[in-house]
Amino acid sequence: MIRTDRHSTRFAFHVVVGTLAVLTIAVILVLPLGIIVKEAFSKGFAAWWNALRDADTLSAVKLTLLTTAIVVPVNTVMGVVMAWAIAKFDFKGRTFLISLIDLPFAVSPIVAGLIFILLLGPRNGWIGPWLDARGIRLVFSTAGVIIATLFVTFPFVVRELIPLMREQGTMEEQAALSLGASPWKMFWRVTLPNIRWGLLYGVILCLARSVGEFGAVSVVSGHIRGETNTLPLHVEILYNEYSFTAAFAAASVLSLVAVVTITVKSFLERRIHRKGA
Amino acid sequence: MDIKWKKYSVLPGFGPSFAATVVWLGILVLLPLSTLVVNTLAIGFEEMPYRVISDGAPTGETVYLRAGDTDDKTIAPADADLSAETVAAVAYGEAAEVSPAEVELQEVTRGERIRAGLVRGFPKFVEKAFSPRVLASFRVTFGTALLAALVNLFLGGIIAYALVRIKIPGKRILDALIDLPFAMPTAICGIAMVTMYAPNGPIGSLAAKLGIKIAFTPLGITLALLFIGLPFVVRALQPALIDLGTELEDAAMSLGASRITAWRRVIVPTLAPALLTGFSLAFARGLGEYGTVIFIAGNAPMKTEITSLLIVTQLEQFDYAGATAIALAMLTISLLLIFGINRFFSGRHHS
Amino acid sequence: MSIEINHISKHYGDFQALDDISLTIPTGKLVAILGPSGCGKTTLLRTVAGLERADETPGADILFDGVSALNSPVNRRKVGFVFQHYALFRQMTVADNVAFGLTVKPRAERPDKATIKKRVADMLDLVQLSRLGSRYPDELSGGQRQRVALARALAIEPKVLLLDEPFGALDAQVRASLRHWLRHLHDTINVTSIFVTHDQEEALEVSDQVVVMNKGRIEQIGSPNELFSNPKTEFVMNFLGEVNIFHGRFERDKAVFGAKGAERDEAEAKMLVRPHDFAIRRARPSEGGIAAEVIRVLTAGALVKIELVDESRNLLYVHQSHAEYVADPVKVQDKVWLVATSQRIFRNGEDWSGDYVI
Repeated sequence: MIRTDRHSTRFAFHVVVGTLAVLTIAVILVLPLGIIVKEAFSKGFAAWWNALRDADTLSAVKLTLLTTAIVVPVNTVMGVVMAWAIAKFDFKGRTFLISLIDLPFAVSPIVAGLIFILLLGPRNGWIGPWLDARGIRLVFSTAGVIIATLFVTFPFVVRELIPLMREQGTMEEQAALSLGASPWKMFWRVTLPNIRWGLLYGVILCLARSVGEFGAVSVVSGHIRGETNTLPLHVEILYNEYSFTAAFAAASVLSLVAVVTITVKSFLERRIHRKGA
Repeated sequence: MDIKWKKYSVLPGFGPSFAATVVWLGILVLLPLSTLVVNTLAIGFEEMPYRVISDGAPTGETVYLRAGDTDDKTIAPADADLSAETVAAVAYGEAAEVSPAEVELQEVTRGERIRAGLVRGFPKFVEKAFSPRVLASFRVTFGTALLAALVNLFLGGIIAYALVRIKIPGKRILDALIDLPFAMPTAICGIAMVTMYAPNGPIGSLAAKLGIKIAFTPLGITLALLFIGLPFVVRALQPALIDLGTELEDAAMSLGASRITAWRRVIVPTLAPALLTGFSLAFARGLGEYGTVIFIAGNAPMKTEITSLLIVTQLEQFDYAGATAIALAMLTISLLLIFGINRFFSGRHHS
Repeated sequence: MSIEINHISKHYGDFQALDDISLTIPTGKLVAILGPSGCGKTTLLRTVAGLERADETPGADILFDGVSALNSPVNRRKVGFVFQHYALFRQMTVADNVAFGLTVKPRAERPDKATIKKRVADMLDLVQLSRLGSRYPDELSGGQRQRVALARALAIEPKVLLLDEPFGALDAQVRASLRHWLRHLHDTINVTSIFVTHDQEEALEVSDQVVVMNKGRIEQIGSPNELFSNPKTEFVMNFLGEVNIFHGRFERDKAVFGAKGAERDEAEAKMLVRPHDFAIRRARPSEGGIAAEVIRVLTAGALVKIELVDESRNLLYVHQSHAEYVADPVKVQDKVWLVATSQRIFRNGEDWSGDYVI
């Protein structure tokens, strides 16, 4: 019968495509992860643990945590503020502001670092010399690492929120006001609950990127060991010094963060899809 | 008070949130990015033009001097009257009344200075942004990014199709894994790539047996970009495939088309915008990628040096003008390219 | 609470949504604002609620019981507003939705938890949804959501209830039953209410008074009966029920219909006749009539609907009671004469009474 014939070709086609897909995912995406884990533990658990306890590694972890602790809250608050203005109101120049928000994604990480050197560089920057004369150094310093990370990661939250808030419209907020709610109560009781999953999603992406940012931070950090090295930068240094076990040990920690990130992300996506409908 | 450019809304907080948005984007995006353009325009202004004066009269010659090279000269301002008895000039860095015969150089007017700066800046910009070494890095960067994006279009298509249409056990995990390159720090991917594709690595050793060298060649760069670009294609295609459903395919086949014809004539054209988006995103990411690539690239000038690394090299040699020029050229070319691709294909798609 | 609207105008760029609207709504009445989409009725309602801001023109004001409300923001106006698509809070249960207005009151005015709970239960009783308090809005039908929205608006004990197209998003059957229910509810709670609708049947059936709006202006205000039997403008007559329209012109202060080749006056004449105001004659009537041919007869329904064409092939509609029809049933292709037993003539859209010739 034609029908069964058609179904059996479709089945064969699906087996081939499915196998290819799984193989591609395994080789291109999963294998690198496996290599990191294998290399990290190649000299045993004790070596892995000792590598992580190294003073420079710990200070790199500290700087990464500090950066994240500053960048994520700032980007979250600013993301909500910007999304409020851009998604909930109609005004001329809206699309221009949205393009400005998209720009950091179009700029390569190296260029992202470069522009802050051109702006804040202590010798030749636009305002760097002025700051330098007052003892303030915003590049080749912890501050530089934070500023560059801020630039690279700020679109995540706001880009997640704008379409979501636009789609939800303003009717619920209007209803809250008409029922006597103050602006704050309207925001906390109506707006925020409506966007919480999308907000969390953006925060997770922002968090992952701020932990892992390499290019932009590499340009502005000045690579001062124990001072301005974030964990990814420290991995590079260790690797270039042929301390492979130490490099991969640190890398395995960062990979763990990545795996947690995609797990939470996948959970949130299902959540948003269900509630968003 | 009604603002002309904004629709009235009863919702509170527009003023403060709009002001905060503008200030924040201005400080964090517009101001830093404008340095690229302004510093590039300023390339020609490192040296200033002066008229050469001899015996109180211009010789017709013009010299270009840096700020530091004028300290031991006697310079008259642009509007000085050289036929007068004495001239208010700057001699050895200090203001002085001198006789016209003592004047060595005369400044030019501001208009002439700007014109000279721009005219002399352009060839300098070209020289810095399009030197043979830079051009070679463009070739490597654009070539590998293009190749990787094209391969990803194919691989991503297969994965997206499988995730949407085929019942695979553990699909949720597979789907979550697609985002791994988004979540992994690039430098970590970089050292994983080089370990994987090095001659003694799991894949590199296989390739070595076939006589293929991957690490430290453009092939290695392409493979690294394959990793980083794959999720863009898959994530762009998935929703389009879900929207598409199976009806269109069934309809085409019910009209007598074979499955291949149905795909070629109906499915692929319908998916074209999503394919294009995925391709553009993967391509753009590949152009700017740094961390994943530098470990495996080999970084040999003229051969395996990517543009991002070249910018870093210039910075390390304190050639800021060079780094800026290359960055601006690269940013402009990639924006134009992506804009052009979208215009060209979307134009064709609509007709 | 009475509502007084004085000289309210509203522009959106070049578009005039409201053009000098003045209107008084007495305490306890249920008033319908009726008009086609884009006539400004929703804008007017939202302006009263404080959701929209009126142009700052001299004399513009909105008074609640004689006190200006124009400068009090929406969250202090104490109006109950029922949104067209309900605008229920999707993250809250039905009970939490209804309680919202009470729980956001400043601490000093806020009732205690038990009182709020009691009030929510009362409200849900009132709208007959007592069992659904723990549901979420997306688990309710359209009619149920509508009633939750109403309960939520009433929970704050508003002095004024404003409803924007309250039945607009519902299907025909639910609409009809909710309509009667709303009228009944209004008679129970007796709060001054305005509702906006584009459905003339709804307006005429439910309200004490109807305000007909067109192009940002009020065309006529009156009881449903007044409007239907004594429309002041062509628009009102046309909008409230079916009409047959005859075009003509004015000649020396006389409306002329049908005659050809006469000199033109600047004014346009229109004669509007409701389908039930035509009598059908078999023979040419002495007082003059319109010659027409029957093309379709619909006997199903409360009325017999007859479609005819006149000599210039214009479609005409006549409604007869079944008794009238049975007395002398017309058939398709019958040639008959139509005589208007009642008609209205409009000069440039305004009601006009004077001589006319057919």
